[in-house]
Amino acid sequence: MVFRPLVLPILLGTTVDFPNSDPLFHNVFSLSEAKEFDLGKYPKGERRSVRFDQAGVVSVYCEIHSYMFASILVLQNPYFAVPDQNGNYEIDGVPAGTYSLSFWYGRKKAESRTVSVSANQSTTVNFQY
Amino acid sequence: MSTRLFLRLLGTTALVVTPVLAQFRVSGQATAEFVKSENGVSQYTIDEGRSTFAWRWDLFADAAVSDHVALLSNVRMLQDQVLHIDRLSIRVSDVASSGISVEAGQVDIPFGNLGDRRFPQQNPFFDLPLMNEHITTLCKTDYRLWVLFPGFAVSGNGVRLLDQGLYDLGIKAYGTAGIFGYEVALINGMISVTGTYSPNGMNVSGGLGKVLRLSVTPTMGLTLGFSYAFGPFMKDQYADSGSALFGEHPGDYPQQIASGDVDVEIGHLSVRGIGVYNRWQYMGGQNLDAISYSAEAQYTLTPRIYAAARVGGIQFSTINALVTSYNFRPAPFSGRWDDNVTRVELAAGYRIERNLLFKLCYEINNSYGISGNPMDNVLGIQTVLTF
Repeated sequence: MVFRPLVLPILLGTTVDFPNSDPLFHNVFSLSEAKEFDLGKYPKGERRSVRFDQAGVVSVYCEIHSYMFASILVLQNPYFAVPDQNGNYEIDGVPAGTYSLSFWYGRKKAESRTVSVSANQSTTVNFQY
Repeated sequence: MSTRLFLRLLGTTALVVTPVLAQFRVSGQATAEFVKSENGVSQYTIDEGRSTFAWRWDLFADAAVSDHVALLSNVRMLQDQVLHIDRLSIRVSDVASSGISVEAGQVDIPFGNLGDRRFPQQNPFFDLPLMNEHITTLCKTDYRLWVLFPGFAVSGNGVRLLDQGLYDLGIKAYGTAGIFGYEVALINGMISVTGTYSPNGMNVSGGLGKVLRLSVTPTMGLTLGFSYAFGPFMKDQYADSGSALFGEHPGDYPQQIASGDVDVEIGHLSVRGIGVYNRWQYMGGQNLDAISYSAEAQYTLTPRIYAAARVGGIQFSTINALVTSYNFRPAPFSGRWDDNVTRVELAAGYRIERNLLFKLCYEINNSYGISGNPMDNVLGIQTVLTF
């Protein structure tokens, strides 16, 4: 049993559903500074929702199954993407400037790079993992 | 060399050189505790009522050698005891695709619904339920019943109703069929006197304990269970001259114990209850009966804080029998063979981090009988680290 996805980037103010698809109880909770919550135990077919109003990394666990772990990245801007099955990603509409681009692999931040974006141009950044 | 022999040799060679890979997992729990009890004459009094610190360490080491075969082990150590192996068993899951799993070695006994609450992290309280902790006046080793010694009744030197964490050497088979679950076990000892602390770990009883547990989960969050166990509970040797059973063979006397339990989980609320009816056959047909109950509720108030309460009690039967007297000779006795006891426990927990729990617990103990009600309430503060 695992959380899917293991990493979920969302925009600040987003509400996330936690459906239970397994034939047993789960008890999703977090003690992270960005969001503390405990959804209690609920069975298959039911879902609980949490709204995330503070930016940061929220580590999510299951009280019953200690090996279940996921990260929710609550971001202040919409400039993020989830790579497709081939590992390709694209972030549109990034204003010109210099940014820190972070790459998450699995449940942890694997690498960060400083990236300069020019107006009306594409910038390619490849991560290998 | 015949073809058959060649194939056998090849097979042997392959068996030797093929490495056996196991997925090894180590985890555990450690506690640091502060305990302060009142200083009455009671088995619940700790360190003569002095404030004291204590610790406990549980180590779980499991090795999965295939999808179906695993080694399971729990090691426990307290500050005043040697390292004790609670569990060391080989588990074969889904034997021959039958859906039945078999576990052999030192196993957890399938009786009642204590489950993982035997460990500090999962136990919202400081102690186990009263029925797992209270020590009766029935001695397993010298076959004496010390009801005529009031001091003994409160200090406790006999067997428990349920022997704490309930582990024993033996074999068990278990599985599920739809909403039903079943477990059967054969063990060295019995529910009140497990073989886990026996000399050399060998069976000291006149036979094996037989345990059966059935459960049903009609809907997720509700489980009802029934357990029954039968077997000898005394050592397999003749009683000594100071015993009311002198000349008899107490190892033949059986214990019969049955329980019904319920587990309810609703959102942030957990409720658990168990009732136990027990009969120790004793002294030529004289039965020592005990009825026990425990009910607890735990509620998660915030992601970090929970509150819990538990009520437990044990009631003992009245006997008319010969028991060991002050001069160590049998004397007639009529009355309750042990003091009835109740315990109310209140607890609160604060999760400092995901793997670090702080607990504050208070136990209110009451005894009813010849020994009076000693001052023996207990305050327990416990920090639990899981890794």
